[in-house]
Amino acid sequence: MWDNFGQQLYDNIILNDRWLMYLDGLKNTLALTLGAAIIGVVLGSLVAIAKVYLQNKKKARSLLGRCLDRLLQVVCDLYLTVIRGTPSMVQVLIFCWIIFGNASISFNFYAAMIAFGVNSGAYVAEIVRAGINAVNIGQTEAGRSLGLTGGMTMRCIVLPQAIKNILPALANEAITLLKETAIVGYAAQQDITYVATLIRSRTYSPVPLLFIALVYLILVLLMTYGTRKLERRLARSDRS
Amino acid sequence: MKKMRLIVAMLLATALLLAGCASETADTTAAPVPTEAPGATEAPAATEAPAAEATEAPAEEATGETPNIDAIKEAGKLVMLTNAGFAPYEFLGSDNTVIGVDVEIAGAIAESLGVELEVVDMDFDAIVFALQSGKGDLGVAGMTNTPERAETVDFSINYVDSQQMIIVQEGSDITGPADLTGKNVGVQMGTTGDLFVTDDLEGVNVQRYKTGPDAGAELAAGKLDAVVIDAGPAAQIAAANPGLVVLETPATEEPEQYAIAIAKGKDDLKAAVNAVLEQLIADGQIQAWIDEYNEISSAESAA
Repeated sequence: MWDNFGQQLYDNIILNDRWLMYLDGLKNTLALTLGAAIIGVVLGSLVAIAKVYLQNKKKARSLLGRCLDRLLQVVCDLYLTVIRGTPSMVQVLIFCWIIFGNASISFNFYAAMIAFGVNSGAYVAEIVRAGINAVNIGQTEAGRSLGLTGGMTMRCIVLPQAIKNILPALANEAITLLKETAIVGYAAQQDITYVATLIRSRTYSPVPLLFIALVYLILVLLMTYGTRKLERRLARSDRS
Repeated sequence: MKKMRLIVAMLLATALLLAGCASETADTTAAPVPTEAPGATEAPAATEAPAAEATEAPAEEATGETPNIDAIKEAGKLVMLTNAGFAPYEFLGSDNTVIGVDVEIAGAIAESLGVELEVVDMDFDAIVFALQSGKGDLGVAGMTNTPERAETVDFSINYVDSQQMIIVQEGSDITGPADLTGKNVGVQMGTTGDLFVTDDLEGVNVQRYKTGPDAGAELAAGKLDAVVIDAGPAAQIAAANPGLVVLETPATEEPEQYAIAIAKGKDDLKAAVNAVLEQLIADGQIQAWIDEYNEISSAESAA
């Protein structure tokens, strides 16, 4: 397996311009991650806001209001339970082959993107909710004591502090998402992992897998570096 | 002030609810959207298209008779589902596209319909399911025409005879299928080799791989005792991995036949496919392609 490793490197990456295939796969991986991250952040924030809202609001007076609250609660909880309780691989397969089963095969890319986005949204929701809840209740009390309304307190006092908790965790979620897209090959999509499998089916070599591992690692290191910088910038106002 | 807050809260709640619903219903409502664009081309063709076309365009003779072919012509492309790890039938060529005997055959079919060929590479065990749900027009993947598969999809006429072969390491004590008992045997998931080893042999430790070459690499690494796979790819795997040989005794007595899988009910497409296949077989073109791609594949492995 390890004899003439240099030759194998050449055969698996440079021969026939195969690196172009990795590049195409990488493009798909990144597009998938970016699209899913956007869907996830939007969906997750909505769910988190709904949950915090329900948690803090007074019991609705009218029957309709109570029913709507209850419904919202059930929808949010169901979403979080189902998505966090099933493997993302199974979710991608269900989105691509069943929910969007009638769509053309080229739509699978978007079906997978939606699946990853919906999956990520559940985790983002928990991150955002935890971030808001982590802001000391005293902050809300102080804001209200100074005569701010509930909404203003949330917007001007709580959220700016919550974002400091949320952003680094969100960046971690993005890193997880990037790595998770590797399973999209099961939906007939050619991400970088699938490209490696395809090339390996011709060359019988360990090189493609090692090579893409390196590519993933570099991407994750870049993202981690970005996260660190972000954390340091956000911590600038902290007194400690 | 209080009232204002209540109204805002209610609005927010309904908005969130709608958003929540939207994300829920996106699953169901969004589905028809993509189908509508290419929808006319693929999925609902079998049952709905003839009726709709009959009422809309009764003047045209051809429509209604060949709804699926019309749909493909309208889309301008024939979508072929395959699994590129099955030389010489489909494999990654030196130009980094999927090439092989099956691609040539599908190309001939596309040409006869006057459309482009689109090759979609996917897991072998998902092809039949994808065809059934209208994700592609043809499954051309060196697929053996088995009664089980024929319950889910239709098959064209057979175009190649094949057999399951056993690949072993040189000097192995395995000489035939009877010796596989108690051994670690690699197969490609969902292939007839998998079905044979799993259903017809007893006491075999079956290891299923996504592609034949994956199994071949494990055998070459000494982690498996044998690999059971179709004759064509068996020869290519043995050629690409020094130290591996294909046994002369086949795994299965009965030969099996490759055919093109088509979703049930697309009889017009099936007839067109059969016509092309008959012509190719009569011309000896398929055998010529098998020889050609065997050579291309082994030449590349040797390089």
